[in-house]
Amino acid sequence: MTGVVTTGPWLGVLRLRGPPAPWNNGFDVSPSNRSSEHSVIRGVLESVDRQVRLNRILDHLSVAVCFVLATLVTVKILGMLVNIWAPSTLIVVATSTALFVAFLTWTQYGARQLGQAAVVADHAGGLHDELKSAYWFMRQDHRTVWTETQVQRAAQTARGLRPKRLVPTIVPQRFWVAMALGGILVLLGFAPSGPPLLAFSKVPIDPSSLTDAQEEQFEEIRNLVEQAQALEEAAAEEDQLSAEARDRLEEAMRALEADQLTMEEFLRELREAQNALEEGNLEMSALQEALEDLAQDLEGSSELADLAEAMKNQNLSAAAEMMRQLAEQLAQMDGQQLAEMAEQLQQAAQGDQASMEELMQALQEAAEAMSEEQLAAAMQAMQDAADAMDAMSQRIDAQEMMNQASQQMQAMQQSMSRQQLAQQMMSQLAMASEQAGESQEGAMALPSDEVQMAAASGDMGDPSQQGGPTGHATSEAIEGAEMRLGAATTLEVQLEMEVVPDDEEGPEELPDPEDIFQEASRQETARVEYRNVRGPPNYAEASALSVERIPWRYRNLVKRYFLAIRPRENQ
Amino acid sequence: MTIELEEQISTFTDQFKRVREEIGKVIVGAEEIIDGTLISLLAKGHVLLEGIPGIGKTKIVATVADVLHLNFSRIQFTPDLMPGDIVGSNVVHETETGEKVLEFQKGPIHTNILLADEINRATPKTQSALLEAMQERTVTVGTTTHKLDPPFFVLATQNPLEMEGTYPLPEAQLDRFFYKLRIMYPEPEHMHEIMDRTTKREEPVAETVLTREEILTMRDTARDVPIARPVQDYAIRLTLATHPDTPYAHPMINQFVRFGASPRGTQTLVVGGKVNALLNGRLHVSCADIRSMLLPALRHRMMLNFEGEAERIDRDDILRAIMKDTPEPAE
Repeated sequence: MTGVVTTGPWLGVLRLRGPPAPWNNGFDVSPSNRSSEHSVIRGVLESVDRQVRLNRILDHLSVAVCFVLATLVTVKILGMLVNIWAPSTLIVVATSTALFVAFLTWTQYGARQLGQAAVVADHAGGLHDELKSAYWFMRQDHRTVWTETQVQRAAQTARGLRPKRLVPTIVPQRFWVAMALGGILVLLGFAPSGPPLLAFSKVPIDPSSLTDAQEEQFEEIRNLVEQAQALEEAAAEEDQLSAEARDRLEEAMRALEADQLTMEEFLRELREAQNALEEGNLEMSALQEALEDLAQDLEGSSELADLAEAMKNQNLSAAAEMMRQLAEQLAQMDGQQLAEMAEQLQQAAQGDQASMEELMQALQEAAEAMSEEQLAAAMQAMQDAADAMDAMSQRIDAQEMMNQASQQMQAMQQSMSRQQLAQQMMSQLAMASEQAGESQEGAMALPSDEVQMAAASGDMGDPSQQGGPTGHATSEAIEGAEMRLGAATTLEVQLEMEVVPDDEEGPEELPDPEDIFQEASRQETARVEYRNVRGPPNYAEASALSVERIPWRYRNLVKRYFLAIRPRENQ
Repeated sequence: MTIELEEQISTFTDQFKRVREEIGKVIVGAEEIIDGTLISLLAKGHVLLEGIPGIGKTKIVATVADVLHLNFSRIQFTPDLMPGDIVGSNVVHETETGEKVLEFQKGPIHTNILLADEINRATPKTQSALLEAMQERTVTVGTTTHKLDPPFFVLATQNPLEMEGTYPLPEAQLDRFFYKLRIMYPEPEHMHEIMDRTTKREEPVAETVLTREEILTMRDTARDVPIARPVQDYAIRLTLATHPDTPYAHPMINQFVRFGASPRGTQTLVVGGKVNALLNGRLHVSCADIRSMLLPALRHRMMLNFEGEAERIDRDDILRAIMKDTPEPAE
């Protein structure tokens, strides 16, 4: 044997390769040599392991750098397009570095994986698991001449290996991507700074540059904003009341769905919620009366006549608008008109109307300002009075909406009450039909003449039963039938009635065969009108009748399920 | 000690090389079959050769027997062959004194190399006569157990199962074969060589180059080769990957296989890997050695399910997929 024997994939043609193997010369397996061989193998594996880790770190680093640079470029571009908050580059870089170091520490921590390094070295060097096997044999206590020789040969192989050549340092191609991203970032840094291209910016407007139409529009917008604010404040108070009713109703609905509430309890909750909604009606009626009194006080002035008329008609929004127009016309009035108006306003403000305290106070201030000819203060007070009227108008509107809701609740209550009553009637009807069936069975057990007697006594001819088709007796009729049911016929009585009296009088004459046939036919006659008897249901009827009732809390879920599985149009 | 070991290994490879060269004088273009047969012999296994009639199955076996200095018997399996025809039977023998005694008449199985030609033409009952001999290396007739002389090596040939008049081998019987080798039709250039050698007045003859003792020594040498745990783990994972509905199962196995390979399959991978490592001059078994054993060692140890049979799935394709998708363990 002059060399290493190698074969193909599995035992191809034998061939010789390479120089004579050194192990043919023999090795000393003394402990010192053994430790030397072990250290050689370990040294090579540790070097390979370091190279593997370095390549892994470079790979991770390239990913992290690409990610950070891509983030920065994205943020930079977004910042140029829209107005967004973006962290500074320093913060992004510092945070990413800290996270990357933590990630590296976590991944690189732990014992060295020399077994994995041996696999890498074997693959890279085409060693056919020589180092992997040697490393495993080295760690075993039981050693044989075979394993020792294998380790020697592996050490000899390891001496000829160059770990850095075996596993070279590979710079990932992602670094080229990172460099490109860095270049883009630098170029974006040179871009001129300015407002975002796709964002609205607050640019101060020179009031002198506005046209009259623009000023009017701005004024309208300001008024709308003020009205919206006032509406919001007024609605907040009303909401407390309606929210209470709403919460109560929702809670009752949930309890009803969970079967924790009976129908009667739910109706009671509904009535209480309705009462809560109607609580404001009393205040509203007081307000309407106060408005009528106020309108009567204001009718004396010609300037305030229209205003008074609007207030009398409960049209407070129109009244507020008229009040504002009056405020603007104050400057054009002479002293007499002002005094007259001040007197009327003073007279109106004298009333004790607790329900519109703000309005009365504003009117009082307006009257005082007019009497002192302080037009600006009077105008402001009248504006306040107009705002108070707007707020009152909104309260009235809200109460009207609550009244509508209350009416709907009332309708719902009535509907549910009717439904409940119908259910009660149905259940009573079912019970009555059962009892009627029992009584009919009892009647059938009686002899035929007894049945006829029962019919003659009025059971069959009861007026309440004659009023409708078979099986549709009213509850009164059912109760009556229930009252007329007596004790069942005893067995002894039945046996006595079945005795044939002429049994002992000798043989009976044979009846005519035709009579026998007719008698049998008469006995087989149906006792129930066949036209209204429901026959055995066919499949469609049976499936329709046996429909499983879906609880209403699951109906939406079932509907969504079938919507989800329905065949699509494009399929 | 190390030098002796190196000489032992050198002798092993040298003898193997000589046997192969000698067989190559007669057989053309069937290197894989020859190597597989020799590896089975050295790993104490048996070989099942499958191929269509007329492509040299019996010739290969006869040539292997020629180059080995061993006793050789041949049984032509037929449907009317009985187990007693294989293992032998007790016959009445009259002594010189005229006394009649029962004497065991050895069957053809009492040999070193047994050629079971067209084994799947015999009934399963007769096929099963080989079970004990192949696994235990003993033959029991009546109440007496006879030990077979080592080495005992069965080389069976069979026609493809789809052919008429064949009985498929039972799973227990199949599992006892170390390798199942498929002989393919020769390449055109090999056909020229075969024609040149066999259509003349004299045909080439193989000489005997290996004695019984040398074979036994080579067997012991092969068994001594150490295997590292990660490599052994790889062999186990490959075997477990053939078991359906297990954590290691390959998707193709779950779809097409009913039963996977037995532990004998793993033994085959490891022992065959050891022989292959020695033949490659290595003192350790590598994952590549295990891989090279996978197809002949496990292809007959997997039973396809109905879907696999219906789809006519080739077991070799499944094993190649397993080989591709099973990673080599590091520790």
